[in-house]
Amino acid sequence: MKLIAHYNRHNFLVLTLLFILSGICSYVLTRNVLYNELDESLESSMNRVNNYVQRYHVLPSPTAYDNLKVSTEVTDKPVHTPYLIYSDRYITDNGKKHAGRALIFSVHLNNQIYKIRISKPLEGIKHITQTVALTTITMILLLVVILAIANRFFIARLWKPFYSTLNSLKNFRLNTPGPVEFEKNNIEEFSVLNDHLKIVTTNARKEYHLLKEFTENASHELQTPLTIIRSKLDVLIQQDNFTEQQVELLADAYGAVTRLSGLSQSLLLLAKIENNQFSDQQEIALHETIRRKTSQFEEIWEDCEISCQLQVHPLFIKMNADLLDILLNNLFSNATRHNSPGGNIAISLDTGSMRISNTSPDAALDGEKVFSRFYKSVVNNEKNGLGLSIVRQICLSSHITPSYEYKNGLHNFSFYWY
Amino acid sequence: MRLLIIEDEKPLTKSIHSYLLQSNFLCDTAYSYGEGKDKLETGSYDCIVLDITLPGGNGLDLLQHMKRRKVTAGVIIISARNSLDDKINGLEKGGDDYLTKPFHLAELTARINSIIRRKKFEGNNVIALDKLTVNILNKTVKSGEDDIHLTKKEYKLLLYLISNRNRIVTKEAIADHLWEDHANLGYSFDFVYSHIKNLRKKLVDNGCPDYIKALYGMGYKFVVEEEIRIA
Repeated sequence: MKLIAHYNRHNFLVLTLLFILSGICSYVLTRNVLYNELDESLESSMNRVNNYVQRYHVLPSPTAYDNLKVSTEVTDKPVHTPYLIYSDRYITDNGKKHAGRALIFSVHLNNQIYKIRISKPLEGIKHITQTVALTTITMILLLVVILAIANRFFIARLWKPFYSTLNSLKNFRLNTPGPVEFEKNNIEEFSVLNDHLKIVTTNARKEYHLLKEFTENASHELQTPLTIIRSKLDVLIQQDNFTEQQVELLADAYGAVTRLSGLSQSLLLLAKIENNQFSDQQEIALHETIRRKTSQFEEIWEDCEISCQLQVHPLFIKMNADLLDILLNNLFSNATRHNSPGGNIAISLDTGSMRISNTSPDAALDGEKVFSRFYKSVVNNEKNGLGLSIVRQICLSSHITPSYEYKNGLHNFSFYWY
Repeated sequence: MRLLIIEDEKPLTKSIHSYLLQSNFLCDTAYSYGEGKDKLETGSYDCIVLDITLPGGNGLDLLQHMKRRKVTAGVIIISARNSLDDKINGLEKGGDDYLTKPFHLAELTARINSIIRRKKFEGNNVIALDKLTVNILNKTVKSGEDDIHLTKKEYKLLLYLISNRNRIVTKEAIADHLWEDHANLGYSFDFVYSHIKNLRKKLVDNGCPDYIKALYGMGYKFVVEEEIRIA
């Protein structure tokens, strides 16, 4: 849910409650005030009636003026304290029945007790309070509508720079060149946010490049000492008079140098792919490339007694030719290396996807980790565990989705182009 | 044969020097751009081993300089840079071959031999060694008058061993040479063994002495007494 929607939801809820409350309050208050007023006027009328009776010794005529109605009746019980009642017996001149309020009291006149009832209609108060309630409700509705419209246009515009910043961040990649551009705006908070984000992203990118550069340089610089070690060993082994033990030592050292050079070359390659040094892409007929690569491996497969099924449909893709070559090399090598004599490799190419399946004595690999660096399912110190992470890096830079699946004893590596 | 090694890493230069000396190459060494340039002015060489990053200048500039001076020696560039662009650039500037560090000295020797054969003996592409005759153009091998039928890999292996004759060549170096990028397939050493076995059998069956000696755990050695003649 968007921030504005959240804001609106809470805002409107509170506002509505507030207005309903204040509506109820003003309704009750207005009514009470008016009722008091009415009651007071009834009391003053009672005083006037009492005065009249004392002065003239006659009951007031039951005429009604100023909406005031006075009615008298003879009673034997005096009303000790005057009391107020609601009545619906107020009848206007034109015969309409209305709710009213009446004050009942008694007077003594000529040894007779009279119960006097003065009543006034409540109609006026009802109208006023209804008007107040109506006004309040109308105000609520009007305010909510106006606020909704205002939020929609005004607040949306206010937050626009923020969404533009979000958008810029969404497109931010560590390995793309050039600083992130944030739209300029005149809201201080957003400007500060943008400034800070700019600093953070620039620094992150700088660090990332330094790290990449370091990896590349380190791998590069390793090559020369490795060459020296290997050349020294090459010269050393030419001497004839080694004991068996010395030969073993030398062979182990030689093997380790070979592994180390493979490792540093793989790391260098990874760094180069990450640095976008293979950026030029071209249209490639993948089926042709796979056929060519398969024929290169045929001899090796023959030696390993591995059979191969090739099933290709024409598929044209756009990617870097060198990367594709490395990708296929790695995949085919893997399928070969983890195979066993009498095994099988199946390569199929469909519209938009490529799949390489191989038999293997190894158990299923962890699909989550299989493409990560230095992942080794079985203890195999001969390999550096970088082959599939190179595959993953190539996929990442070429917009290919790789996936791994173990099914019916087959390791399946699938690749999807979108 | 006279060789010039232009490489600033002295330990490496020394190794190359002593290894090549055993192949009867006379080697001069230069450790910097300026020194290399001077040596090129004064001496005449059959082949030059050239590093790209040198103190005092870029090895590729030396190539341009040699072109202007019309130096005809073959040039092998050795560099730690292994991208295709670097290779293409080096070859376009006048290098005859490009070898990426770290390399096997056996590989370097084989490539130097190949360059010298190409440069020096145009048209004559036959190596005769003891009983063996190898025609490089047709890729055929004869033992005396009999043809020996070798597979592509066996032929490549034989040529490699001949280039490094009387020297121990490690199984790693052979694997790298035969399979290049695919050499890191786990059991390529088994392949090396089986190819060597087949080659040995074919040579012996066709009346050659058993030239190839296995040195346990280390590699192989092509032992031949007679000096090579290039017919």
